Amino acid sequence: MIPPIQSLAPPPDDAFDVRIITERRDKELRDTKRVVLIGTGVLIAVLGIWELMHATGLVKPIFISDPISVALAIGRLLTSAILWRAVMATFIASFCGLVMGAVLGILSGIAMAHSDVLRRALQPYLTVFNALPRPALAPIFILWFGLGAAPKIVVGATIVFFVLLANTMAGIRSVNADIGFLARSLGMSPWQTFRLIELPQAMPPIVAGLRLGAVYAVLGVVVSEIVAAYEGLGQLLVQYTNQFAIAESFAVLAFTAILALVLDFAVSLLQRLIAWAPASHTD
Amino acid sequence: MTGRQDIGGLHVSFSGIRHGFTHGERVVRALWGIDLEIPAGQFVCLVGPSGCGKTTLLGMVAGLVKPREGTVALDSQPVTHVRRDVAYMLARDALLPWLNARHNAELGLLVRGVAKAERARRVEAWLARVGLSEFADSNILRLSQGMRQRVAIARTLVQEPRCILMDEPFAALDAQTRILVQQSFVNLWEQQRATVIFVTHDLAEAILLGDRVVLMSRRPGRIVADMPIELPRPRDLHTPSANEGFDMTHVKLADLLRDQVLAADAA
Repeated sequence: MIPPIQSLAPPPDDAFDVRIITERRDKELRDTKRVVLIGTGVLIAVLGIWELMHATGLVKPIFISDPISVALAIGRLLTSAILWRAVMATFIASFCGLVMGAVLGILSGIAMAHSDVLRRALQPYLTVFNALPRPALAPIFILWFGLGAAPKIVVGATIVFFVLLANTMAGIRSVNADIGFLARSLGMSPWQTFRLIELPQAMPPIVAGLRLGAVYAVLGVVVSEIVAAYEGLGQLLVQYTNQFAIAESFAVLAFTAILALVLDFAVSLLQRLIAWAPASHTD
Repeated sequence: MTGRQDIGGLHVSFSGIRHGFTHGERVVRALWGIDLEIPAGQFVCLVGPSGCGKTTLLGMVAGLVKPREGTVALDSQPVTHVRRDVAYMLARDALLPWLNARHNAELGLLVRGVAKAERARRVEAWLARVGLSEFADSNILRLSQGMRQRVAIARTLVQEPRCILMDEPFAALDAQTRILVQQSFVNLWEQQRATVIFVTHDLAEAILLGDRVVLMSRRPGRIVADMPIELPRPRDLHTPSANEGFDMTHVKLADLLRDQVLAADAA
């Protein structure tokens, strides 16, 4: 005789469920503890070694400063107008470089994804230009555009441009064959295909490129400022280092990193807003 | 939900179709002398070995492939471009992962420029018919394979096509799900009665679903058998043998098909 369906369901066993949930929670807690431990351990080790090198004179103290002096320097700079002028100059230039490079890169990526001829014709030049270390162009751009914002924006933009070009092109060309076929069988116009299929498909790599670009834009701008500029964090860094104000130099480096993080964070907000997540099916 | 809605099918005719393509320096003959008349509203299954040109034939009806020789006509009009009353369904659902079920289902209507309110109304009705009303706003990636293919069915049928081209539409589904999805498709088709050209490798599926099974030879594809299937509807999709006459038809066609597959394999 076939038993009724209900009898196949196991009787409730709360103790069993509770044990499994407890085990999982314990493991999560253990892992979190380890993460915090290793994280703080590394921080303490780095600061300790730094302090040790300073205290023992392994490296000339004047060249390496020490954690406390740097912390004090950060505090001093925070209230100084010099720092904020430099931060604004670098931030504005990085932002402009990011936007300019991204817009041109995305548009070129779209054009090249759609035209085999264009891609084949331009690819060699783009490969060569991309192989150039762009920061090395800074002196030339400064010669052309002067000591203001323009040369650093251009250096930042030339780096960002290629990241966005490559990502946009790859994104559009990654449209799944079935979806491409569907688009044709529905009789989509080129514009409809672009708007409904290609652009959304390319969105995740475009936004990923923007995040990478945010960091690269700051890099390009700061390097250009180091070469020469009226103002900016790169210029400030050179000044302090030349004066052997090493604590201030480290403080400026910290601000540069924070600036890049802020820009990256801004783009990540954009990412959450517009990009669908390709790998979001977990259950 | 609206009830029965007879939109009627298109009469499909293939005459003197020959097609080939280049493979390196060689010309591969894909189809060789296809003549086939499909009356409006008929459910025809095309069966044949891999690479016999079944999919190419569908592409010709869809207006995506131009035959090198011969013509394909829909209601006596030669096919020259993609037509709005012909819909295509693939093995994989080709759903857009960045859209929810509802927006996927309305894609065809969107392309056609159907107004928003009208789109919403029709999609709502079709999601209900495929039993997915509750999942209208679900992320496609969270639906099961069967549900996804039902969204694809809704996307196809909401366009009220007069001819549906199906390229192994249920091949990617597991056996149990497959029967359920086949059943819901057949039920819905019986209300619309569009002409269906259904490509499959599975002879049993062809016999269970079709009004007629057309068997194609190995490449270059020709028609080797054209058999009406007179099993009464509704048919039992769960137990094929329960349908009177299924086994006999199956045996007859299976022999013919096996010969073609073996010949294709030997070539």
